[in-house]
Amino acid sequence: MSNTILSPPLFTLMGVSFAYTETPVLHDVNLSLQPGKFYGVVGPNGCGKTTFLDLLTGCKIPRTGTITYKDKELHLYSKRDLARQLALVPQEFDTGFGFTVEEIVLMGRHPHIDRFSAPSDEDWRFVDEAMACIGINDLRQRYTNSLSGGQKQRAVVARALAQNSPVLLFDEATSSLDVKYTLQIFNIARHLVRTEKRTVIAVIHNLNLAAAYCDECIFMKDGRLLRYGPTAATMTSETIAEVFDVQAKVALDPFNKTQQVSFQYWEQ
Amino acid sequence: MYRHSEKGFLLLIGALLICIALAIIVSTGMGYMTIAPGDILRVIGANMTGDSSMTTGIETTVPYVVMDVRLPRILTAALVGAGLALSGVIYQGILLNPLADPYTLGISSGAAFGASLALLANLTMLGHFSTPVFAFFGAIITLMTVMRLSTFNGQISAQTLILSGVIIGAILSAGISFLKYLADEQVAIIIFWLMGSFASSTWNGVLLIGATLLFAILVSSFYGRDLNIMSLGRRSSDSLGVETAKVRKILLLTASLMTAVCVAITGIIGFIGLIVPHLMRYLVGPDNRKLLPVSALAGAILLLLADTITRAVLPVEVPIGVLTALIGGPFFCVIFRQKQKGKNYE
Repeated sequence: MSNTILSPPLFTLMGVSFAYTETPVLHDVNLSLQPGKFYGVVGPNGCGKTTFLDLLTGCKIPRTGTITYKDKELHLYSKRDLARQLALVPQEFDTGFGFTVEEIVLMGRHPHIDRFSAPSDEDWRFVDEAMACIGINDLRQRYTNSLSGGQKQRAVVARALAQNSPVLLFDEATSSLDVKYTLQIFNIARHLVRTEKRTVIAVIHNLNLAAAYCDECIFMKDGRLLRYGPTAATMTSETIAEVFDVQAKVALDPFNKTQQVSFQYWEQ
Repeated sequence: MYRHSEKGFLLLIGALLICIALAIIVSTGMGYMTIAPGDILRVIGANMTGDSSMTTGIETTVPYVVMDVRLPRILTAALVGAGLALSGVIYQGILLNPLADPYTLGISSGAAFGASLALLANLTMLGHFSTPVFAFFGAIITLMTVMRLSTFNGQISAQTLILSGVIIGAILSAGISFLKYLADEQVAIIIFWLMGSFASSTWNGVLLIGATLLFAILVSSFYGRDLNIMSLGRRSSDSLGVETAKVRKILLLTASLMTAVCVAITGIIGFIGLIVPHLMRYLVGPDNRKLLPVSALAGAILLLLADTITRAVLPVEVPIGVLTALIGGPFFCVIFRQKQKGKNYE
């Protein structure tokens, strides 16, 4: 975290905890996130990753502690202002009454369009670019409730891109995608971080993707922050054993020139 | 979300408006005494301009029948139909459930309980408005109880909202039965009112429903785009810049006010709030900014036609609530089966 002094933090979490009932889901999280980085949130099922993202988007309010976004407490922002800053690709995606893919992507422009205005040419340009970027132009007039899980997920990623926000939050955004589209979306995210200095905060289950794409990793377990820091330093066999209770070897992969994880499948 | 031409939508609105005007004129002419459309227009014109010379040559009972008997009833039917359909669109949009309408939330039962209480105790301290006021408080107390019951950690989930509505509705139905039992000789008033009727409609009622409907249309149109986005679920709508919790509260209160006024004036009329939004969704799609006005217009036409059938066509006047339930019930079953088979309309 040597370069943290250079730019003011994007998010600062101080003593943040959250609970639905008496048992806390998140416990005393202290963290600051820098702009222009690719963050990976990693941890076992039910460890509080989605809750963590919900707190960052302001969808849930912490029970104790404060979350600051750009020097202002998160709950002081209106939802509209926040939506111009943060775009979320949620884990599950549902439309009770079928909208078309185009209408869904256009919803990403909602925080940019005044209440009684029609979408401007600029709004449509963002919609077209987002759909072209994800490659779902042929799905434009299809109804979302006739799409496969993977197609829906790509439409939602396009919606988040159309939102054109400096921060993108992915909650397992590629869980129902095949390897081609998974890599496509991760490469789009990587490109946005590298060229436009945007920030991506992604909940990732696949440790190899996290190792390859993330600048920093946040390891969570049982609602606590276990390890946090540059991927090369935190993505170790010790961390993986402690977080997931799985034996793994982390080594440089000469094919991609990145760290990759290989797991011990059974006792040799 | 119109990139494509809105012409079709505007044509539909225009067609529905013409249908309403025609339906009002034609049904005013129908009944025990048949009145020619020209005479009806002259009577209405005379009343609006105050120029009594327009009615010369028309039988003296005609202005009375048109202005004091038929028009209040016909306008009440049309306005209640519009109000119930509008509430249905709002409830379905918020609860993300195509089977939701004022009854699923227990709101109608709450309003009916309040009104039954007023009828039973013969409360008339507020004059004509006693029943509506009690119905409104019944509806609002029910809504608050249902929302309180389904709120966990400051958040309302759509599923628990419906469950709470069904539970409270069941309790209130039992309460209404108990009131009927207590009512003894007065039971006929409550029963007849509960089945729904437009027979005793007045211009005061027309004004009350009309004003409420105008308010509800303005509020719901204001939040139309938010309502669209809220169908994606709380997490998505929040992150797209919709104040979901606030908008949900405002729209639920508006729809409940609309329902309460309708129930108070005409009793329980079921299924309009369910059927009309469904039919209209086939025509204009799920966009609430189109669905809200179109459903209100179509609801007005449908209930006006149903009331005209029971008033002027059938040999005996069937209570309107019974008629809509007899037609709407089977329709409900079809929707339910389609939903089970996963054949969702698009």
